[in-house]
Amino acid sequence: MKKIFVALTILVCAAIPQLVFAQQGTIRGNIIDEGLGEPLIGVSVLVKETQTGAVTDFDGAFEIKLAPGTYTLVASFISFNKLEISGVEVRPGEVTLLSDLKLAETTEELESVVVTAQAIRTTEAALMTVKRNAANMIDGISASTFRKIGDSDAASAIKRVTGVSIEGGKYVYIRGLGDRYTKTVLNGVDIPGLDPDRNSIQMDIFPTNVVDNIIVSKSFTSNLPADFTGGVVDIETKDFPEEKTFKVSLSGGYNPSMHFNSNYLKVDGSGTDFLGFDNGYRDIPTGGRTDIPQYAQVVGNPNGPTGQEYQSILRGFNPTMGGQRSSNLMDLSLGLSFGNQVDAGNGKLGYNFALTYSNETTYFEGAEYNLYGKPSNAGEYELTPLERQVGDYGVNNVLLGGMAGLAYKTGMSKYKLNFLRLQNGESKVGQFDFESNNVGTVYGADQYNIEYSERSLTNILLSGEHKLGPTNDWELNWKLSPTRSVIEDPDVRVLRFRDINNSISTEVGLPERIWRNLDEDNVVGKVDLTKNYTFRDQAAKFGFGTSYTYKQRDFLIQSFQFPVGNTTFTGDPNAVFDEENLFSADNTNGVRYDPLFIPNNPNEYNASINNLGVYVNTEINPFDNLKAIVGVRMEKYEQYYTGSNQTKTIVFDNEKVLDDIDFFPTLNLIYDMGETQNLRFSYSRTIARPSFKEMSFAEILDPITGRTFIGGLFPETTNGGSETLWDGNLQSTRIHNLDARWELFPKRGEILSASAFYKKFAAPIEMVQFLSDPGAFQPRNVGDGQVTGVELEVRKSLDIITPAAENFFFNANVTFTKSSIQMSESELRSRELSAREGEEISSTRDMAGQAPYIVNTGLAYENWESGWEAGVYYNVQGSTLSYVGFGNRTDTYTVPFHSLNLNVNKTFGADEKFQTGLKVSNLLNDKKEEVFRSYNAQDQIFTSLSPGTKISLKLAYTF
Amino acid sequence: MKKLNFLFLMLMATSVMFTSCSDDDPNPNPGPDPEDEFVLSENITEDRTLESGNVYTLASRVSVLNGVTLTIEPGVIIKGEAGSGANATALIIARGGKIMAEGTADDPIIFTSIADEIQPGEVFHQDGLSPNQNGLWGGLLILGRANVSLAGGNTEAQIEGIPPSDTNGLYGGSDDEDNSGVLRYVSIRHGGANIGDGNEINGLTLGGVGSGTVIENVEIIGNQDDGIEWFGGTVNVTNAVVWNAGDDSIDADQAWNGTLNNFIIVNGGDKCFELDGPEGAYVNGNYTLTNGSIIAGGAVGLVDNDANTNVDMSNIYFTSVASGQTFDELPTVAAAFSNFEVTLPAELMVSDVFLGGSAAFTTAVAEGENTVGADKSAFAGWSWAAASGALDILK
Repeated sequence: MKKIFVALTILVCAAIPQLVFAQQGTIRGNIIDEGLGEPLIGVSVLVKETQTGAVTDFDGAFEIKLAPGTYTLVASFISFNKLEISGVEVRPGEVTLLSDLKLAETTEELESVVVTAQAIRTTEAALMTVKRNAANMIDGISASTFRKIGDSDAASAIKRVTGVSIEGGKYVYIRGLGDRYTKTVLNGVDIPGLDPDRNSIQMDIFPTNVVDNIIVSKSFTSNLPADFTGGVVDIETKDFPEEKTFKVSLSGGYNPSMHFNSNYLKVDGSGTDFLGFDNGYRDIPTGGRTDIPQYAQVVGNPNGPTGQEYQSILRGFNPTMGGQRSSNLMDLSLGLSFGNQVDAGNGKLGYNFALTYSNETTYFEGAEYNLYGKPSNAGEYELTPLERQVGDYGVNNVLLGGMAGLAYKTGMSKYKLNFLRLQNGESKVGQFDFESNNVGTVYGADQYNIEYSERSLTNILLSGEHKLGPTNDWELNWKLSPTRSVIEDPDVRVLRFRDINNSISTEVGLPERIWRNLDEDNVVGKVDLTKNYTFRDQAAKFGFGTSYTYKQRDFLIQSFQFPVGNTTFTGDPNAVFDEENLFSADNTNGVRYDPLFIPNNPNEYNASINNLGVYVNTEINPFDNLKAIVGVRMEKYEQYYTGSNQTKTIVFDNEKVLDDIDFFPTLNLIYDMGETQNLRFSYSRTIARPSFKEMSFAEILDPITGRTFIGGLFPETTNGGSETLWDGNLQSTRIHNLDARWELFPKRGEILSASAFYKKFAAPIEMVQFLSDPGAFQPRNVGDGQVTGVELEVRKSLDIITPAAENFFFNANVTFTKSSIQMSESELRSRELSAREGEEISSTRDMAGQAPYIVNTGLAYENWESGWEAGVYYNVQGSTLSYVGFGNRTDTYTVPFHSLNLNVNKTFGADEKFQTGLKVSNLLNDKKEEVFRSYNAQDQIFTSLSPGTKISLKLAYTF
Repeated sequence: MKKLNFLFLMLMATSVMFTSCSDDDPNPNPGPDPEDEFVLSENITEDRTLESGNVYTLASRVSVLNGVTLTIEPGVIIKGEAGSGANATALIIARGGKIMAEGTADDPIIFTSIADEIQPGEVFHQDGLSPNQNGLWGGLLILGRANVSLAGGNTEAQIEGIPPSDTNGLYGGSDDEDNSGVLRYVSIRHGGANIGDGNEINGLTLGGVGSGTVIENVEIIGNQDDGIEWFGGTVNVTNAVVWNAGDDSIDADQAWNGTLNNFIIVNGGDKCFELDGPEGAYVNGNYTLTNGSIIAGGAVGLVDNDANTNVDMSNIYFTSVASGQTFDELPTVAAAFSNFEVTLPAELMVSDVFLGGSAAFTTAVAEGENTVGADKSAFAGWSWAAASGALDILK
């Protein structure tokens, strides 16, 4: 990987000397068709004062070099109104940008439109043009908004988008539909996720520095992959820089409850932790071998060759089992980006380079993780505590990201090569008071946790766009994109001492250390062809194409437990691995290791998929004001699995576990109700497929929650095997989607829209608890479900109140949903059996993970002349069913987190080269909580975290 | 176009790098040969007899399936291979399966670890594994179809220590007279491999075992978790000794409805008695613990009752009691306690140790002067605990 990185850097640097221009200035811009939102090729752009000009290219882009001064530009194109832009300033050696100039088709009333250059900026307005004209229903956020709000990563940025919420600071929920129904793509192609438990990728690893915009499509068109329901999130990285940019930014964040706190918990790590990766310090002392000796094999002969080997491996484990308390630093992040375009041969070469680094620490005091259950007597309502875990933990998160992009454009073709590498390391250290009140296991304990998680993503994108045919009426787009993602959790450590005597036993749980590894490779190829033609005198399109995705994953967990024999302890977690305690010839009943993966390791599997997609679609206007986009997509999807159950009685060797051929019809109608209003309707069929891990025999115990994940291929029966609760035949979920939307664009940068949607799920997959073992969860197809919702969005200048308030914008988007799902038989039975007196059990319930409402609102102040931007933003998500309860366990719900944030930005100087920003997050100092909820009982805490209020300051300078 | 070709090459090079990064699979352990008649490595699906004079290796988690009988002749030794977590070696008598392990006082049947060099004819191996070595293999689990009181009103459950994907781990039903066979003169040693927190294998696990089953003269030594644990069921156990349990020595849950008669506990780990009540609505009378002697030793506590513990206890003698070890409380449900005796160190009073009203039926006696407790003669000859002298303190 490194070599390519270097090669790209050299290429980019080689291009720099070409940047030197004479004392002329440059005007660059692009022109789009206001009706279609697409680039207009061949538009003539004339400078009134000099009578020189240019013609727009392939991207609708133009470039004019002029002596410094102030000019007026006139853009004209046959059958379109003229556009006149006044006050365009040109400064020596600089580029003046005029983005997304819109030409409207000729109307009788109007012959030319005049705007000032001042009004044209890269704002949300550009995105709204796309939104207005897109064939499907989309929402999005652009780079300028990231800057304005001060969001540092894609996760915090995207929650500003209508109907989007973020779970755990990482995962996207669209319209309240969880991770399973959301898809994340990078530059339009699939990327593997970095969490084996999730379908989509963590958004917080994308620094906004490398992102150009994020578009959320909520309705399906046949050129998109069919495996999404709530929406597909497309993260577009920066592409063709319009001007030479060289920007450096530095920001610091301070949270009074977290930073410079002498109670902060940390542990010694590797010398490269600050760069987001471990240099081998946490490597497994066995080197991953599966032929290591076991205790029972050496206890009789500790000093024999095998015994010596055992002892040497035992001494190879890092003796640190607990963190230490010492002061931490505040958050810091650095960003650097530069890019430019230069003439190269007949075309233009653009390049883009970004580096980003952030180092953040969070510290949670009084964090709670509890377990409550229903009392066995049905007449008692209040929940009884089974386990309580209260304590502190510190997290250090480091993100290092680099992106290099090259683009080459000729008159009729454009090629792009983009390289992205993200490296993220997270170190977590915790200390908790643990209390168990479970039947038969009543004790208190001191718990110590150490975790490290390292994630990386390497992506290459090579793509091309071509205009073909004698009249350039054919468009060919192709993409080829390999990605490799790796997640490693080296040496997750858990230790508990019983509080009364500092003992370690099976009662409190033995010390455990886990190494987890996941590699995923992904190759996507795509070809799209579009033909532009005329239907009933209106522009129409016909498109078809194909895509192919291959993904493969290797997954491996190796864990060790450490029985302690008759060793006594003082309560110091770092003394457990003291030499005098370890197994030796003189101490045969000392601390030893037990590997949990020998001889069989069910937590080792390999899985792959092949997905071939083919589609056709057409975009026509059957009537004057009605645009219809009709299409159908076919996907042939095959999933393979290699792995076995725990006792190796079932062994799959690259067995085909899923073989689906599906047709996904789509219909999108757009009714043009005049220049600024649209009415949209869409229908589509989509799919949600089981993940690699779900389609497996894996049995993964989470030592922290004590929950076991059971792969979906295992059946469950009851009543002595006579009744099947789950047949082990996990299937994909098919979804019918209906959407309607009315939208009004009062003026540039403003929007008012209302949407309604309905989704019907056939056999949705949910995590279901084993009836025979309440601590085990399995993905299963449950009964049919449905979600109905409405969405409202407004972005309006407050000039309607008083013209003086024209710089104030009110933003709000609100989503309300109602979901219901038919419970599985085992769930219904379990609920009936454990019902409280007077409680009525319905056979339907909310869909797990479906938020009942999401509210995003804010008030922004924007003054271009003075360089001030400020905003107050509020975000909340309604109480959502997170885990489905079974037996004596109850359902858990999230508690609405009221997030109120303030941002102030100021740019200085005529060139706005210097920018400062202030951001205050969680002004209300709210807590993040989930609770157990039961009939007629008070809610009890499941998890509780206090993120505190954080103040961040940012400085940026553009050279 | 030259530049483009160069880019393509780079891309290709990267793809090659992607595919060449896969890890090499190291060779797994050779392991015992499953074809060997002295190795038990797969589920027992047809009647089978383990013959006297032989040592067998238990190489995996082996279940005796529904309708199948495993006969173990006197003097047989079964040694569990090393393995932890899901790989713990264990013998499961699944519901409907039967174990006929009829040892004798002269030829007991012994379950132990491969680390134990014991040979047929020995009660224990001189200078071999210490009696407090534990966790070297799993244990013996007998599962039946008798009633079990479960949370959430279920009638069957997965036994702890066995992952839920293995349906041979299910226990419970409605046949209280269920018969899982015979266990007589059986010693279980050095087991208790751990799966996870709250999910361990006991020395002898009895899940929903019915009253048709016979269990007499059993010994559990050095088990990492509990000694004997009942999960509901109706089975009776007579003449039992539990020595050096890592966790609780005697553990009863889920409304067991049987009797433990004539037993000795030596050197407990956590509680000597961990006595719980029903977890669901089902309950059918009390279980009975009678004629027991407890040498508490390093135990954390003596008796741990809950408010709903449905137990009757009588004729119990405690000795080697230390400060901090207590009888914690009396159940609030119907429960009968009588004739407790205790030998205390000079600094302790009966009321210091026997709390919650339990002092009322407890009398302090001098060492050796007890009038209640176990009859240790039942353990003479075949039991390692007896042979080692660990029971000598008892009269």
